[in-house]
Amino acid sequence: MVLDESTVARLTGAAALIIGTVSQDGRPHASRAWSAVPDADGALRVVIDADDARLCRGLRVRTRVALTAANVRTLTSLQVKGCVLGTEELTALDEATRRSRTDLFLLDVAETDRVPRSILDALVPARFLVCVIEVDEVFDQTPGPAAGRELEGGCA
Amino acid sequence: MSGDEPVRPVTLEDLRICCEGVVPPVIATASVDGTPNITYLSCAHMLDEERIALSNQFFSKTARNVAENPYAQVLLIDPRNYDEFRLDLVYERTDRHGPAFDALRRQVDAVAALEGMQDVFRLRAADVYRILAAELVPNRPGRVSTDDDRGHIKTPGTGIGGAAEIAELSARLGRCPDLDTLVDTALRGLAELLGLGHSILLLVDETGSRLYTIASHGYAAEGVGSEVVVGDGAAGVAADQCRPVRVASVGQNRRYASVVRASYEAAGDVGPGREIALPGLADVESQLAVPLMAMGRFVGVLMVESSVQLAFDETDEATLTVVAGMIANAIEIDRVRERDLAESAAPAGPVAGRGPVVPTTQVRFFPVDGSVFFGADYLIKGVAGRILWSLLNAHVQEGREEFTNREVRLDPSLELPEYRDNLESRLILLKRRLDERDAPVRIEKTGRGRFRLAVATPLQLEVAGA
Repeated sequence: MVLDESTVARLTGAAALIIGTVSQDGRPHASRAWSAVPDADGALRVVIDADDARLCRGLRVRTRVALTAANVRTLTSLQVKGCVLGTEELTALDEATRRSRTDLFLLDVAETDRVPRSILDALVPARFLVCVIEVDEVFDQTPGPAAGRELEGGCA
Repeated sequence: MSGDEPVRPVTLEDLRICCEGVVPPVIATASVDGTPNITYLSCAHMLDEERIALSNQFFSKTARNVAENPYAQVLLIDPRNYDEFRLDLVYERTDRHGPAFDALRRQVDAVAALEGMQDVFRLRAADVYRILAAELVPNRPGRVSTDDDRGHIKTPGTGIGGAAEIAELSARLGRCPDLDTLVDTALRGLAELLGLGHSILLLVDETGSRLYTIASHGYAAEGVGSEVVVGDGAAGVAADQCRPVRVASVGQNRRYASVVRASYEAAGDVGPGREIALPGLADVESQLAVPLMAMGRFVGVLMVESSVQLAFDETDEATLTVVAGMIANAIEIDRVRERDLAESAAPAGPVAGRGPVVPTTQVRFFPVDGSVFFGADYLIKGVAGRILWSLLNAHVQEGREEFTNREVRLDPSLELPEYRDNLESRLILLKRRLDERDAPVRIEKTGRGRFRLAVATPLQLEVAGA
C-alpha cells in the first residue's frame, strides 16, 4: 500500500519514532527508530539500532511490526502497522536522511524540554540498520479518546 | 564510558524519577496474533522494586492486547540525563481504588486541571504490572559526563531544608503577633531558610469554592486578591483533594493536556476555550501545592514554584507539608483569638475628619459582584470589596476612621456567614491590596481587633448602576 501525503509528512518530519516487534513467545519489544521514509515502491525504510539484538531478532520476514511517530512539540501521534519485508545496510541516502531527521528530532526535544543537546546526543546509537516494512494499517495515536482510531485515508 | 563496560544495575530510584511526568512513557503490547502496538502513556508510578502502575484512560487497544497477552514492555526516560530504561512486564491486576490508583489519579487530575478537563479526563483504572526485567538501554557513543550540564533540573539530593531550618521557621512564626505579620514571615522564611524563592499563600473563601491569594513572595506582582477556583491548577487540585500536588514539568503536562483537550473537543465532550491561566512564574516548570489543614479543617493552600524541572521531590513535599501545618495552625489560632477579642471590644467612636485634601478620589462600587474601583483602577471584589465599601461609607457619612473587627462582622450589609466568616483574613487581604495598589485609602492595625482607615484624599462615592 502507498501511504498518503499526510501520513508520509508525519512520519518523515521531526518525530520521535518508536518501532515495536513481538518475539516468538509473544513478548513485545520497543526501540527507538531514527528515520522512516517511503521508497519508490511505497514500502517504508525505517532506520533502527543495529545493536539492539532483541529488536533485530524480532524483524523476521513477514512478521508484524508497528511504528509510532510522535511530534515532540505537540504530541500528536500516528502509528503504522505492517509486515517486515527484510533488513538491509544503509545506503548513502538512508544515512543522510537519518542524520537530518535525528538532528530535527533532537533539536525539538532540546527546545521543548529545555535540555542540553549534549545529553540528548547520548540517545543516538552507534550502528544502524534499515528495516523495510510494507505498511497496511494507519492509526491516529494522539493521546486522547480517539487514540487507536484507524485512519481510513492513511493509505493512498 | 565504552560499550565494553558492564551496564550498571537499575535501581528503584532510577525508575521513580522516570515516572515524575517529565518525559511520557511508551508502552508496547502485542495481540495474540503477534501484532505489536505502541502508544504513549499519561502517567506511570513505581509501587515498589517489583511493580509498576500504569494509567488506564483511553488506550483501549493496549487494554485489549493485555487481556489476551499479558506481556508488555515500557520505555522510560530519566529526565536528569536522558538515560533510557526498558522494562519487561507482565500484567498482574487492575486497581480502581487503593494506593496505586490514588497515586496515578493525583497525576492525572493535575494534568486535567491545566486545561479544565476534570469532568472528562479521569483515571479509569490503574493497571499494575510485575517487572520481569529492567535494563538500562546500552550506552551510546555520544554519552558525555552530564555533571556540568544539568542546569535544566535540580541537582539530585538537594532537599529544601532540614530539621534545623524548619525549627527556625517555626520559631519565627511563633513570634508573629498577628496574621498580617505571619503570612509575610512565613513566605520570607520559605525563601531565606528553605530556598523557596517563589511562593503563594492562598486561603479558602467562605463558600469553599474559591481560593484567594493573601500573600506571595518572589514575583513581580504580588497578586493579592487573585483567585483560583477549587479544582483548577495545582493549587485548586490540592484544595479539592486536600492532598499535596507535585508537578515536575508544567510545560510537558500542558502539552499533553492541550493535545488531549483538542481530542475531547473534536469528540464534542468539552467546550473550547477554558484554559486555566497559571499564576506566578512565566516559565514555571515545577509546582508543589500543599493544603493548609488545621484541626481537621481545610484553611487554604501553600504553593511553591520553580523554573527548573523536577525542582521538588517527595522529601520536599513532606517538608512543605510540615510547614503548611504550622502556618495553618497559626492562622486558625489567630482567627480564634481575634474573634474572642472582638466580641468583648467596645465599638470605636467617630473621629474628627481631616481637612480636605485635593484631588478627590472617585470610588465606584458594583453591587453585583462587590467590586470596587478607585478612579479607573480595579481594586478588589467580593467580600473584601463589600467590606471596603461599608468602611468608606462610614468614613464619608460619619467621619469615622476607627473601627473594630466586631462591628464589621455584625454589619448586615456584608452578609457574612455566622461561622468561619474569614473576616480577619479578608481584612488583611484588603490591607495588602490597598498597599500594593498604592491606594489613597489604607488600613492600619491599631490593636487586637481594631484598625484605622487612613484616608489621604477626599472621596466621592458612587454606586454603579444605581
